[in-house]
Amino acid sequence: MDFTNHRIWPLFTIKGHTVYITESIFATWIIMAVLFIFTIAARYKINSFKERPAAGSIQNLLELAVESMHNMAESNLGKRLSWLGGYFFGVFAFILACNYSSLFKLRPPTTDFATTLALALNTFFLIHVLGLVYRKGEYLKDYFKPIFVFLPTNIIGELSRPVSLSFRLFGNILGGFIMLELLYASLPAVFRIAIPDIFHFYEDIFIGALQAFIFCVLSMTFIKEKASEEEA
Amino acid sequence: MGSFLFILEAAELNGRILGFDIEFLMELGIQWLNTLILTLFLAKFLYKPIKTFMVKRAERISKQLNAAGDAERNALSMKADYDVKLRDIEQERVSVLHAANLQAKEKMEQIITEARREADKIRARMRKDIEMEQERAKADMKRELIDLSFLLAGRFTTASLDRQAQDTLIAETISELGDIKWLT
Repeated sequence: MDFTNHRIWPLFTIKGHTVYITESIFATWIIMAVLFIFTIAARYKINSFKERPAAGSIQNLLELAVESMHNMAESNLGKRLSWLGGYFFGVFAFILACNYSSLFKLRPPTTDFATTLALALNTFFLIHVLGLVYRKGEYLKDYFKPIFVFLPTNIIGELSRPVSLSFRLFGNILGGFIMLELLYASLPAVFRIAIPDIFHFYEDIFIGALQAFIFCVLSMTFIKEKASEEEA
Repeated sequence: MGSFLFILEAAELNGRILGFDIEFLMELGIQWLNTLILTLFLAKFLYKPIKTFMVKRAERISKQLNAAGDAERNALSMKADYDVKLRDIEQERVSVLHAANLQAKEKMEQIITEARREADKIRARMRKDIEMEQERAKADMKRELIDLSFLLAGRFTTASLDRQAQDTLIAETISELGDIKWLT
C-alpha cells in the first residue's frame, strides 16, 4: 500500500537533489485549469446576468457564494479589511476544489504539505504586512506585550501560526485520504462501489468543506487580530 | 491505489508524504506560485465582477425604493392638500349658497316691494280714472237730462202755451238768465 505523493516528471537538479513535478502539483494544475475555465465562462455569463436570477441557476449559486464570502469577510475582518474577501474567495474555492478532487480519483493537492504551507505563508504574509500598514508602531509594540521579555515567545507564537494552519489542513485531508485508501484496499472488489461513498461523503465533502471554511476563518481572525485597531 | 495519475508516471519513481529539503522548497515555490495565481485570478475575474454587479443592482433597487418612497410621500402630501381643498370647497359651497339665499331673499323682497308699489300706483290711477269716468258720466247724464228736460219742456210748451205766453215766458227767462249770468 502506498500513500506517498509520487514524483511524475523530473524538472531539474540542484546540488544533487532532483526537483520533480509531483502528483499533487499535477493535480493542482488540473484543478487550476478547471477553475480557470469555469471563471472565464462565468465572467462571460456575467454580462447576461438577470436582475432577478432564477432559483438554483448558476447565477444564483455564484451570487450566493460571493455574498456569503463577503458577509464572512465583513464579520471576521471588519469593514475596513473586507476587501480581502476576494482573496479568501479564491482560497476557499481552491481548497474546496482540492479536497473534492479525490471524488474524481485525483490525489488532493492539500495532502501535500507544500500546498498547505504555501497557503499558510500567504496568510502569514498578509497578517504582518497588513499589521504594519494599518497599525504601524502599534503593531511592533505588540511583540513586547505584556513586557519586553516576552519578545521571543511572541515571535515563536507568530511563527507557529502558519505551521498550525498548514498542518491542520494537511493532517485532516491526508488522514481522510489514507482512511479511504485503506478502506478501498480492505474491501472486496464487489463492495467498492457503494460502501466507500458514505465515507467519501463524510471525508471529502463534509470534512473538505469544513477544513476550507476553518482555514479561511482562522486566517481572517489572525489578520484582524494584527491589522485591526479594534482587536489591539 | 485509487489515483489514476499513477499511470502518468514516466518511470518508476518513489514518492513521499513529507520531507524537508531543497526538493520540498522547490515544490513549495511552485505551489506558492500556483495558489497565488489562482486565488488572485478568481478574486479579480470571478469575485469582483459578481460583487460589482450585485452592488450596482443593490444601488438600483435602493434608488427605486427611494423613488417609490418619494412618490408615496408626494402622493400622501397631494392627498392631504386635496383633502384640505375639498374641506375648503365644502365651506365655500355653504357660504356661496348662504350668500345666494340672502341675495335671492333681498331681490325677492325688492321685487315684491316694487310690485306692491306698482300695484298701488295702478290702483290709484285706476281709481282716478274711475272717478273721472264717473264725473264724465255724471256730466253726460246732466247734459242728457238738460237736453231731455229741454226737449220735454219744448214739447210741453209747444203743446200748452200760446204764442203770447210763449214770448212772455222767453222774455222772463232771458231776463232772469241775464241777471244771473251778469252777476256771476
